[in-house]
Amino acid sequence: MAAPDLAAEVEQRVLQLCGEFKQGITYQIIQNDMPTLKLQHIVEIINKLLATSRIDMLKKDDDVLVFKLRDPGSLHRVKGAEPEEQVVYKIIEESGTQGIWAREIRAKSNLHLNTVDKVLRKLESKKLIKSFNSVSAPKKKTYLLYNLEPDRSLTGGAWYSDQHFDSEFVDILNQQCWRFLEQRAVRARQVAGGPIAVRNASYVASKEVLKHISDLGITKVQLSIEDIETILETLVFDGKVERSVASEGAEGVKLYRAVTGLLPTPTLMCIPCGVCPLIKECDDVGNVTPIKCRYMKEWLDLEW
Amino acid sequence: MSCNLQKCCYKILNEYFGDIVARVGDALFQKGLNPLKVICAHTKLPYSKVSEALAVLVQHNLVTWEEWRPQIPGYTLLHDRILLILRFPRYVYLVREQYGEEGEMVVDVLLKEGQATASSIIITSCIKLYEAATDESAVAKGSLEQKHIVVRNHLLKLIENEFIQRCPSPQDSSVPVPVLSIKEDQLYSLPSELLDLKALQQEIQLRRAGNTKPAVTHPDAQIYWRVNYDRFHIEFRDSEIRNCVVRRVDPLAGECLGAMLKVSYTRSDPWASSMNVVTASEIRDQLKDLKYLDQYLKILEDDSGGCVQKVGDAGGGQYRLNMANAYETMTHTLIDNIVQERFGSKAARIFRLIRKHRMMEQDQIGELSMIGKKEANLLSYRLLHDNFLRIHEQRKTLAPSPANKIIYLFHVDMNSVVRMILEWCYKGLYNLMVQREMRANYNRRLLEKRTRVDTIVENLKQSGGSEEQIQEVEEMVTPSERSLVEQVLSTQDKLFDAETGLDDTVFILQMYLYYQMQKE
Repeated sequence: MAAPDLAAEVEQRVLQLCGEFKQGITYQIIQNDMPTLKLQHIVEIINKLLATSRIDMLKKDDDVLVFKLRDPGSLHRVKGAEPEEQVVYKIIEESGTQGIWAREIRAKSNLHLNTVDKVLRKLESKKLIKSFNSVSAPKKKTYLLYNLEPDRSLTGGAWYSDQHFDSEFVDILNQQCWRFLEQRAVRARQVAGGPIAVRNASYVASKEVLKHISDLGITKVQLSIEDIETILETLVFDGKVERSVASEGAEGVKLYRAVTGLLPTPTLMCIPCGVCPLIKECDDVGNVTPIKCRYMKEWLDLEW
Repeated sequence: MSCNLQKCCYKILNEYFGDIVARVGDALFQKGLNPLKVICAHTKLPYSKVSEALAVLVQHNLVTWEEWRPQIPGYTLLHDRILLILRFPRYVYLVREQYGEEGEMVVDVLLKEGQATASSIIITSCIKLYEAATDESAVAKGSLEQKHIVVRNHLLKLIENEFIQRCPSPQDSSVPVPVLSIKEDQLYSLPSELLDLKALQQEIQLRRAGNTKPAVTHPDAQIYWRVNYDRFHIEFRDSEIRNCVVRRVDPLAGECLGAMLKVSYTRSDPWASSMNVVTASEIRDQLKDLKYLDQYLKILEDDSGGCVQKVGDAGGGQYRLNMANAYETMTHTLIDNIVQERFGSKAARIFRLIRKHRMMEQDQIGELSMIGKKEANLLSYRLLHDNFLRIHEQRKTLAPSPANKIIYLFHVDMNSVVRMILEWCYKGLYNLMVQREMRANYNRRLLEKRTRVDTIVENLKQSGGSEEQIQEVEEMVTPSERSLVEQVLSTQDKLFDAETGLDDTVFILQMYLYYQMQKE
């Protein structure tokens, strides 16, 4: 057995040779190039390259095996690829990172749906294309080239894991962002120099929030500024945070700060009637009445 | 006008004036403007009782009348005023804060009487103050003698500041249905010749000696006074806004806003939704010591929920106070809080989101609120179910066809939400009152026993009973009963506090509706 670094070196060399001889290389060429290598090693490396589909194995007319670099873009040149496969591959290639739906492939290729399905399965097994479920339509299978990453709009960005919206993740980020802003606001209150200075000190740019969140290390996904801003926007809709825009150079920077609500919790919500699920049924007669009310009783007898 | 409000009014009248008045009030509430005979028929009460009840209601400014048919008066219930009865403790407290004990007593007496002459107010408050003072027995005798003058001064001050106003009086009392009217300039002035201080002092002394019959007729026997609720409401309204600013910014900002209000009132109608302009230099005159006034003004402009608006730069900056905006923001916050408490903070996020965007499609809601699609849909439909949201159907063509998808837009109709919450408050108030009454009835015997024992102990102490006797009487209440009494009293307090708190919410919502109505 060759040492691992030697194997890697040989692998590299084989690929290089494939690059030099466009028509493909035979055992003979490899043997000539590296005479010290045993046939067994060569077979091992060739098999490995075949398994990772870096090269293709072809048979010449005179039953000699030829190895060629696999070029995914030049499938049509690959022997054995049927015309249907070539057409379907081309259509998928055109759709790029957006991916394409099987039905659309059928419409574009004018092939029968069954044929398309068969071809797609074939291409998939050859690891030329892959299928993917978009978050906006989880039941729709979209196809794209094997080496491409699906577009953000299909994966849903950082907020989706396994095509499911990761609401726990969002909640944690939401809380952390708020905690950060609030700490800032508390610290800002000690700033001397008038109320405006206090207010300005409590503003935090979205860039800073992003840095804080990355430092915390709660997420392995790299978040972008836009991601953090969407989270901060949810805080604005929670009524906990205020947004302002300042200009920094030519472009505006979004600033956020924690604020306290204008009013305390209304008394209506502190009494049982405010949160009572049966408030609509409550009346003087019947089973739900203020006199018989269990919630009221529990509330009033709470401290005793 | 609703079933909940009606029940609420009935309970209040029942508690404060008894069953007959409550029934008459209820009939008037349901049937609207009606003459005496019709009310009798509705309530199935005798003529004399109904007219007595109406007199009580008129005395307390809860009923007005007008000529229904020639020579026959018809009566109308002012149901908004009935709810104000719940606010009485707040009125009294406010006056106590601003005018001290004597002012408090004056307003307290007047609220209990409904309408009263100046001399009777002074006499009753003086006697009550004497009683309170002898209990503590710490006040010097000399000051007590002059108490009626102090009380009169407070009354005058209250009238001058429009907390108390003169009742309109009939111009021609010979007609069967008199029309009440008053001249503008008489509303807030108490001529000094109407008060005979000597006679007042005499009567106070006579009354204290135990003589209950009025000895002399006072010169102001025909002139009645009543509490001017609106003036109190201005105070409440301002303090709500000030409290908001204090919560948001700091106490100094609240002071700053207070000064702005003060200057504004000198030149504009306090009930206008947007006041006349004040300048920064005028505010500076009011707040000479405030270091960062300009900064505070700037902050208020951003952070007072649209209450303070800058309109120009003359005089160091011209500012306008907009009460309608302030109450709109406040009501929004209030309702957001309610949604948050009832449906959770995610629902509150959706609610606020939709309110800010006015009209929203379902998919957008999930995307912008960063809530899972399923949960977002669930929450928005729950809000829809409880009438916090509404759906608007947008069709491209009238004929339904699968090709033209109908767009459903969620939106918030603030006015109807506010009215719904208001109803809810009334229902809550009613439930609390029912609960309070029920608990009081249930423990009536216990409470009565406690009072009886307390009076006996008090009497024994005064008549010089021995320690043992007092001990013996006190032991009539067992420790378990004692703790039960305490428990009952504390639940009553809790219920009462909740009622007052609910009234606070009602106040904000009513203010909002008032300003909305002015807009239209």
